[in-house]
Amino acid sequence: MDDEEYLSSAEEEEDCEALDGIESEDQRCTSTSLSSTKVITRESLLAAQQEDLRKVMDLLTVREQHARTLLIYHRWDIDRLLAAFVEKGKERLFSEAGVTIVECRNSPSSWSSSPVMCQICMEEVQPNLVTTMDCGHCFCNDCWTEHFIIKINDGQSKRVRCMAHKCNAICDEDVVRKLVGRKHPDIADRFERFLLESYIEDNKKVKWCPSVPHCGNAIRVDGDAYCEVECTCGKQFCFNCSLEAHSPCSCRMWDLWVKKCEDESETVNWMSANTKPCPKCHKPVEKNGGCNLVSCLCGQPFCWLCGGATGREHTWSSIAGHSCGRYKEEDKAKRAETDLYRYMHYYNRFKGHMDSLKLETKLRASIQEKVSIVESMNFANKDYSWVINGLYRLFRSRRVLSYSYPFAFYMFGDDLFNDDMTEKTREMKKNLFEDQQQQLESHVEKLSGLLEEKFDEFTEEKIMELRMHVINFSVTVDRLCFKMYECIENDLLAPLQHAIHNIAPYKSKGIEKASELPIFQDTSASLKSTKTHRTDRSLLQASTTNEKRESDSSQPSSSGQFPASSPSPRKRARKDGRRDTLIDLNLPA
Amino acid sequence: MSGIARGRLAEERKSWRKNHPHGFVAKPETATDGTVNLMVWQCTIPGKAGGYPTSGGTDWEGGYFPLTLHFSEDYPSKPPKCKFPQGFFHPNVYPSGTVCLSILNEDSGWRPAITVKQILVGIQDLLDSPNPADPAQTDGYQLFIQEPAEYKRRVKQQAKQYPPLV
Repeated sequence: MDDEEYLSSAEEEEDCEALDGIESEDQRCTSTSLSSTKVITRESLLAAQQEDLRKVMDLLTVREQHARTLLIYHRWDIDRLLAAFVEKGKERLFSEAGVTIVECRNSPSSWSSSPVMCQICMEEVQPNLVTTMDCGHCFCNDCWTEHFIIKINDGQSKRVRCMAHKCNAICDEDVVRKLVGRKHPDIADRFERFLLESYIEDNKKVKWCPSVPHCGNAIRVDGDAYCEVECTCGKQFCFNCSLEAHSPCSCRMWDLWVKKCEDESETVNWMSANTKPCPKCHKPVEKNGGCNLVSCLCGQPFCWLCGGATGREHTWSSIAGHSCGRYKEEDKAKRAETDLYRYMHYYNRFKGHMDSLKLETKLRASIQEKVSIVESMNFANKDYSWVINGLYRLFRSRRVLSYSYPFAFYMFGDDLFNDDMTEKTREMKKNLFEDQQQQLESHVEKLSGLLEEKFDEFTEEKIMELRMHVINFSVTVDRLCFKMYECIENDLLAPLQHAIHNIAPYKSKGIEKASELPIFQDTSASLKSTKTHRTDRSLLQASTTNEKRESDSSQPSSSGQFPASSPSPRKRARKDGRRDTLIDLNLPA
Repeated sequence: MSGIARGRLAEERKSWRKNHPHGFVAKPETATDGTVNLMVWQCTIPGKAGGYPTSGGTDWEGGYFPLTLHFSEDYPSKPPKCKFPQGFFHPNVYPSGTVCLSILNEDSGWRPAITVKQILVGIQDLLDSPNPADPAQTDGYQLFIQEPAEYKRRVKQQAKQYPPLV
């Protein structure tokens, strides 16, 4: 590739603007709540939950506790809940989830003032000391309380059922709060927390941040679960598997890779330090002394220095007809790979780029130092954001490059897709992929080299030249990363017949930072209202519409309507934040 | 927490004495010194006779099967443990004799309102209609599934083993 050529001077200005545009947008994007990824803190958990509860309360005209019971049963998936509503009808939906509402109540407490027999303790109780659940069953408050406490202590807060034989109803949470709170406020608090955390524990769209020690936050993703997010605590992770961000590896590949690396690391280290594979039978051979002509057990002699096959005739200093002082690329290529050597090939590159990334993070400090030096000089252009932007581009693409090796290891190996590709297609696809990978690799290295230049000693003219190169390479590297993801998704993973592997989409601006969920004004009011019996629905609706408007504008995707059809997991529509219009300006002619 | 277990059991005992299904026995254990232990009940479950008028009894008919109920202080929040003699032949009875039945499982069917009477009648029903989805012993289960004739023979033999106590 000739990199110098494709930047004509006319395009140069546009380039810079385009890139500056991208980066300033970067900042905008993180500060506003445009993203569909939200951090749920201890404080905003209630607000997050209320949003969903209200939708269900409005749509099905039910009280909050019933909305919660329905949502817990359907794992906080409103779409699924509504689908079940349409499919099964209200009655079955309710009874399956344990929502039982008996319309006419003929509980003893409502009409009698004489003592009531509680069927649990079998004692006569004053009618003001019994409670009738929504299902119509009436027992004394002491027995209810005892029952609730035992269930809460057993960790079954989310599904405390009625005490009557064959009754499937879930107990009214307000009654639980009230009765348990009287005797044991601590247990009532625990009940409250269980209910709140159900929104995280039982919810497909929400996951705890995997940070250790735990930051206390959870992340909600309203779109595709295959994405990578950054919590406000700084932890970056793959939302789907909660492991570190690993695209363009699929979750399965990454899981296998991590385990493999654990299993093999010591072997690999020792083997790469102490053995060479025999050029004939490919078994690793250890040299236990003697000259540089070693003999494998299979009888094949070879040169210890280069690993190439040789004849037997040799002296201490040389092997007849063999000279390997000259570096020959083909020797490596000729060496057939055993499984282990194949793994080592990918591992070493994966590790190599990771190590480079670590070293490059140190670059940040030295670059900042250099920037402050040149800033003190009186040059015309005082904007040095291009260095920092270039450095971030380097970090991101280095990561991509590194993870592309475990991807390739599994994509073109025997472990996962043996039945899915013929040897020929595999070879073809491997070449296709490796071309892209190599191209990306060489550009990343060049970008790295450029960023290490001692530009603080440069003339202004040379700095401007370097600036042009850095911007240029940054754009190209970004484009190459994008293309590699595209190739992986469309050409490699999508055609698979037997396995479904999804990867998080390429984010030009790096891993998406989850934004704080706004806490609405009326949250505190609703908190109070959950603690007391609430019947005034009109009041409630007034506040709901208020909040709905706000939440709708921030999340166009979750409108609470019936789902049209969820996109198939295999062919996902690409909806990342990449601005193709801006990038296109910089494509080579 | 001062449990209500004993109070409730005393009431259960009272209501049982007033009225209980025919052929059943249920009484708290009495020690040799005459003290009553409300927490352990010795019961007898009669094998079901046929419907009325006699449409032929079940294979369990004629047997009076001893069952012990062990209540905990958490009763009635938690169910009692119900045990037949060790080695009792039935697909849903563990080798230890413990009965496996949904209403006796605190995670599924148990409700504090279930009475001793309901438990005993429930177990009587279980005897002649085992639940193959929930096997608790290999012997009874395999014969029930694979060799109905042999299963029948064993059930009848067991019924003879437990004649009425007069």
